[in-house]
Amino acid sequence: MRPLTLTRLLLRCSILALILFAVVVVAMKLGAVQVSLYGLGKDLISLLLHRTSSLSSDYGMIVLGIRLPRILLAIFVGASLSVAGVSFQALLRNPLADPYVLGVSSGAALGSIVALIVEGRLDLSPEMAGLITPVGAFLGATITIAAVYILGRRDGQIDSTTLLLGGIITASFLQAVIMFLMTTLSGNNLRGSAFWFMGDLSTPQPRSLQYLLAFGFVIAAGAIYTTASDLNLLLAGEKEAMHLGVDVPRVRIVVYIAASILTGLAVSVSGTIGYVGLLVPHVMRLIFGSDHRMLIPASALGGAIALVIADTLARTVTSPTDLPVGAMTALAGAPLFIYLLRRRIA
Amino acid sequence: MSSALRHPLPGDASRATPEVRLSVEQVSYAYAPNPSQAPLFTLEAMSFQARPGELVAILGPNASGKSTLLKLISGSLAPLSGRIFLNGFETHSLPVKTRAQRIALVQQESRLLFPSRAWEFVMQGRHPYGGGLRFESEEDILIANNALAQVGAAELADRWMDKISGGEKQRVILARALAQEYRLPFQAHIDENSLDSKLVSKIPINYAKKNRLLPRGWKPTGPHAAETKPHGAAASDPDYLNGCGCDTIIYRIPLGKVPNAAKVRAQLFYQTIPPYYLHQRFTDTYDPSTHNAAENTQRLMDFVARLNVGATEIHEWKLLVAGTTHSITD
Repeated sequence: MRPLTLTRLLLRCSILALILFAVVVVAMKLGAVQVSLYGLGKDLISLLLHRTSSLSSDYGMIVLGIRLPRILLAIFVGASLSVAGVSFQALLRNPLADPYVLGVSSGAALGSIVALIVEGRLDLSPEMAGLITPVGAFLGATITIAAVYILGRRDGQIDSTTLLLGGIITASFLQAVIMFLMTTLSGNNLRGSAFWFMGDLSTPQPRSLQYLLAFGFVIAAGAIYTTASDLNLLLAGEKEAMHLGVDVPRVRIVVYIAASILTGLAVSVSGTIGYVGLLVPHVMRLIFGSDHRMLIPASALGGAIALVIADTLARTVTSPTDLPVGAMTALAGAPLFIYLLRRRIA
Repeated sequence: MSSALRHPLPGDASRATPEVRLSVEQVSYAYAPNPSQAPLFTLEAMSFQARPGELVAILGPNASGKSTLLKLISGSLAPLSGRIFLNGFETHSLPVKTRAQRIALVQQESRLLFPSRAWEFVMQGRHPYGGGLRFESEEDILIANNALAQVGAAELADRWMDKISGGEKQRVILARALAQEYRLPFQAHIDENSLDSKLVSKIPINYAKKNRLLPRGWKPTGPHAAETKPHGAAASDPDYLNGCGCDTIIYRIPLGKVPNAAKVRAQLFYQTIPPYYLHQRFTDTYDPSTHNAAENTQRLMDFVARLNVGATEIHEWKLLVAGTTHSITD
């Protein structure tokens, strides 16, 4: 018997954080313009220690101005989608749940597009205009998860097959609506269909939006983390959790809203990147077990690591052309989904 | 006054005699898919009582309402009529967490989504004793180990739940229920040396305690001395006659049921509002000729009548002052 202690939790998280740092350094080195790893590492450390205020060499602009913001965005999106995935898996008692599979990402994408259309009609300041997309995405995500939840219920219980089918059908319906909107309203600045269907991290984000993303992540992921012990018990079923002292309706509403915020924020800046929320939590569960007190922070860090790697591959494999990052995650995630599905049926 | 109450006030002994732990009073239930239709299923009004140490079996044919009755007793369903009391509290009205500390339920099956080890499963029973993000204490580990040992499943602790037999699984599920309701094996007795032993044998310990503790800074000659004068057994206690109202209580703990080591927790409660002090407040402004209480007293009375302190920190007018935990080994 070795229950989780705070020391062990922090130790494991710091190991993951170190791996993330190493991955970030390598991701900053790789790209169309070659950068020396040694020089970059030395410069970054002196920058972190405030010895210098900027990178000495002329590649500083590329590394700090272009690659770093994109990496930070990948960290944020990966962490958000993974934490949302863990939450949906626990809440819906379904190991195959993930914002993408359940159609929540597509709902958020449609919400973003509607917000972009509305924003085009309104005369808003650029600062406000940037913030309207995440709000639309959040609303789209919340409405979709509510709809999928209702679709997945049978005789007052969530039926996991119906839920998954409901999610997949909802996703394809929403994608059709997105396609329709994009075709009929092609004049509006709605970005390409590749962005919405496959995800893309290359768009630089305005500063106000960066703050909103960071703030939203801390609040929503923090809210989910306060229910970590409750989520452990919810895996055994809602009735059983209630008998063990879990305030089920409160946990459900907190986690649904927080997970919708995470999905909405991530989708509004990166489109629908699939399978991160499925793949990362399962790998973390294999390593650390299914205790959510460990699993949630591990998934956040693991999701960040995974998406930084995926995005680095997406922009280097076919260099100088970028692949959509969603293509990379689907290459790894879809086979895993099939494996998990087969194992469940077996 | 009592008619306005939805829940019995603390110390309301009329509801359940100390002997009775569970009291089911004229409870009925009906289930209909929607309110306009005739009920598909009804549970006729029934009553029974259970005392500590009793084993109660509920027998009946299929679909006669055995599970429904258990759901009603465990508080997850509200009865259509009648009331169910556990230790004097209505089970359905208890907060979820408190309810989970008092009632453990072994269901017909416990499904698992992700593999967990047997000890992790038993540890779930300790959830109602902590907040959202607590880490297990040594006490929890001890309790979980004890619970596993009690059902003869100590050697299963580190096995995976999906890799043990059905019978072993049932034992682990039972161990979780034991861990959920667990009280440390701690029965308090006042040491005979500290009080007259004849007195102790006559008076239940909580009765003696109720009168013993007084507001901080109390003095026999101080303000409100007359109102707060100890009653009953405590009035003759030397600690009150020559002291400050403080007291030394020595507990003796029987170690018979403890395996090798035990943790003992002692808690001292502070009596926030002595009932006789409150009584004096009520009667002070009461006019016996007109039978009218003064307006402020009436307000206070109304307020107290609606106060539900059941299962709160000031349950039975007590507030925790100090608590200490000690490890005992052979």
